[in-house]
Amino acid sequence: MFFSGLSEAIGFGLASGAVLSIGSVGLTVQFGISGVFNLAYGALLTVSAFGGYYLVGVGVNFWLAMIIVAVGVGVLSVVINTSIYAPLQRRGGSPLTLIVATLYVATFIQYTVAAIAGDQEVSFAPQSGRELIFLGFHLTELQVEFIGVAAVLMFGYHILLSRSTLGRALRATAGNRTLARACGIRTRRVVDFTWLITGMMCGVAGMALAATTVAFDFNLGTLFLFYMVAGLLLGGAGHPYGAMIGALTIGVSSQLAAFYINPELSDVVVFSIMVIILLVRPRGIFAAAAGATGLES
Amino acid sequence: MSYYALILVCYLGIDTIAAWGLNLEYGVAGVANLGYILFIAAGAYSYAVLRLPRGLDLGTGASYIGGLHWPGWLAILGSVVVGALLGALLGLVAVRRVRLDYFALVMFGFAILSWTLVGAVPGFLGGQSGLFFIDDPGVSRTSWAYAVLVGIICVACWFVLRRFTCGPVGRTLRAIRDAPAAAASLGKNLFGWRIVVQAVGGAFAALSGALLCGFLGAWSPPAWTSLETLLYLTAVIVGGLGSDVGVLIGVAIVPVLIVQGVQFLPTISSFPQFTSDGTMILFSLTTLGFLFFRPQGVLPSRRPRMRISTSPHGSLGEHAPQVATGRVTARPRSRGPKLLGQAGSDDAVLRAEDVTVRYGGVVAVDHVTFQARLGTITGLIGPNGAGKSTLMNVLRGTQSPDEGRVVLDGDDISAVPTYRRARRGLVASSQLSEPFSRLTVIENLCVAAPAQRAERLSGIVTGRRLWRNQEQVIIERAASLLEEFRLTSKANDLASTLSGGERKMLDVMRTLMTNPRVLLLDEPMAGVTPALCDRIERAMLKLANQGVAIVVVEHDLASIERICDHVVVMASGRVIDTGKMDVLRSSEVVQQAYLNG
Repeated sequence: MFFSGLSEAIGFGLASGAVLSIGSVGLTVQFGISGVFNLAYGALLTVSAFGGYYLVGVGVNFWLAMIIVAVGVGVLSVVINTSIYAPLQRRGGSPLTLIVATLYVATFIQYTVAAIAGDQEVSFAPQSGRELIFLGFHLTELQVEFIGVAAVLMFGYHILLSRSTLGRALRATAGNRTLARACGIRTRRVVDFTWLITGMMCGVAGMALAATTVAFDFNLGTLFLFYMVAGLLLGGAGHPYGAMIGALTIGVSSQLAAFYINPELSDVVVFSIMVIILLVRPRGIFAAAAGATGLES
Repeated sequence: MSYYALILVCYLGIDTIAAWGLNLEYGVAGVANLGYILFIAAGAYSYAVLRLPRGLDLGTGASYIGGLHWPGWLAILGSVVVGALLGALLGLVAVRRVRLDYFALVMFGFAILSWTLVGAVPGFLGGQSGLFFIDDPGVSRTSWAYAVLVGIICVACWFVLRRFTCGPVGRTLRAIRDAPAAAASLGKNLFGWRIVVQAVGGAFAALSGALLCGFLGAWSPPAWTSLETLLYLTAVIVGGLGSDVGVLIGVAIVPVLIVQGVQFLPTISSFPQFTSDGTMILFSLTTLGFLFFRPQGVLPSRRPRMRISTSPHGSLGEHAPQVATGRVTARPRSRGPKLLGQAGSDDAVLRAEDVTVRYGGVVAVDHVTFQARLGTITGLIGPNGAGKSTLMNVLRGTQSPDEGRVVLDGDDISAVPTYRRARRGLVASSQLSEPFSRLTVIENLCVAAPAQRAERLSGIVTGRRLWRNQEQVIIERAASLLEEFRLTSKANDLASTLSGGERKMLDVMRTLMTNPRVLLLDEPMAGVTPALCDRIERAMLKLANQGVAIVVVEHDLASIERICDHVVVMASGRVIDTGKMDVLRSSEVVQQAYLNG
């Protein structure tokens, strides 16, 4: 009983960590490249969840809906950055002013969703109740699929950063935007691209989160935001590889806490990890291990 | 209807106290506390458990700690103490270690964490259903007497608040907000001030929470969701960051805006929980609109105007070696009487011993030993990337050396923080100018004056009486410096409006205000016109004549030759040669370093 529960908790932890890592990496790349710590990311996650819910509701295939939602939220992210954050930065807004601004953008988006969708809890039609035994862990088919999606996205991201010219432009922009511009990199386009792909990752994470949650309402993203932030900080802000490991750690430890302590207190455990990390190792734990390809700003 | 008016007036007062505290933290001292509601809740819960009798049956199955049944005034006082302690504690733990944007996140997370915990544990503070049957603080909550009580406390708060937002203390806090590193280099204890501000802000929040709890007679988690912080933040942003009167207006506008948005008369239980989606949307749009189109708020904080007497005699240094318009052509041979120190090895007031700094695998400073003598100007030159600025940062205290030590007056100060070094007379200006941009030029100078009485506890308690005379002296000194550097006409302009060269001058002038014994200047003349350079050179020579040790990093070798007694050449992190500039010019090693660098 003890051990079968353990492997289940770890399996669930890996599954939720996979979803979390998509979000955390998106958030940390946004921060690394544009210097905005975007608290509205959680609200966009909620938008994705409800967008997917409605699309699936009218009969669109789940995976097609995921692609549509990803593109939509990606474009929305670009619009938010170019119309709100970037102008504020150009006017000399401090990082603190920007955080405050993102908080209000988050509130605006969250309550717009609430106004449209109401405050009832909704849930996706059960995709697949079939249980698989995967690497010794008990998982639903959907969870295994999301782990696969996360792995593909992470690998794609790795290739993008390390092998492509665009990846080099991204890293240069993160390192020093003025210098990158002086070297002929169209930094504004790089930043737009960043917000597009990170927004798309937010869309995928939102759909995946909603589909693996029993039921959700317009508050879905707010709490999950802190899970993503915790994963991000664990990995060191601005380090995509650190965020991947950090998110998996958070996913597994929150499920273990829920299993061994109390499901209600798993939030508390995650928050505590976040606060302790910030106090003890504000640069993160995995940043150094993740190597020099970080996007530290 | 009149009861409705009573509710509005009481809320106006209670919210104003909270918003003032947040304004002190965010608007004045620049610390965004996104978990501010936590302190309001701490005050409310403290009041509740101090005022409630022991073990009252709440009828919800939940219970609470405490239950001291204190009289109302004592319960309020107790809450204020709890708020101040909590503020100081969280400030101590968090502000010390964490960047300010992370601090905002930590506090946001901390508020949610506490909220979850309080709701989840039924035996602590009443759990999810909260506490009720709480007595008013001895003044009936349904009579206008309560509004009078709130009003009186508001007025008292105003006087306390002004001790921190006005005068020299307000100036210091705003300086720390605008350019923390520069403020530390001028001897300001950032952490100390931030903890003080967190304590005062926490006390204000807790007082507001206690009065709110006394007015409502109940307190529970739904009353302090993390969104509540946004309410006060909006009041501060709309009213005017850093403006105490503006915040009062902001509080008046924001609740009205909410009441109109919700379109129902507020009842006691529903007012603070603005649940309507439309209200929240309107509310966030309003705030974003202000951040965009009027970031200074409805009533921006006023900048003080100081009258400056432009006396004809001025105070241009008697030691000025040349007529005002000419260039310094040769440095005077004799230096006049030295005021500090004696000739000999004791003159080496500041020493870097075997200092090494590595950035990852790169050795930026490689076992450098170097000293600065009283009454002399030491030039530090070398090609870009030689490690000059890193060495200066080690001396200044913003970078700690991996090996070696820094010695001031014979004491190892390697572990002494920047502000303490500044108080011991080691003052630096950095390579990039760091004006306190939202202070006026003359305020920038006044901030730097050392040992201000107004900044001590006694000065804050006693008020203007204690520091009025000293402040007058400081202003006069600043005015005479402005005249010496011919910036008198800009005295009351915001520092953000100065040109690049003028900012550099302001940096130098600020360091002069501190009465330094050792002055570190990192490229003080970069980007400054020749005429202004001349004034800076003149000021440096004058200081050296008065016995100050100056270390200057500069790329203009002609200037170095004019003013420096001794020159140290660095390349690739090492000292490659030392001596007089005219000799070094012909040194092959130095020429090679510059050509290859």
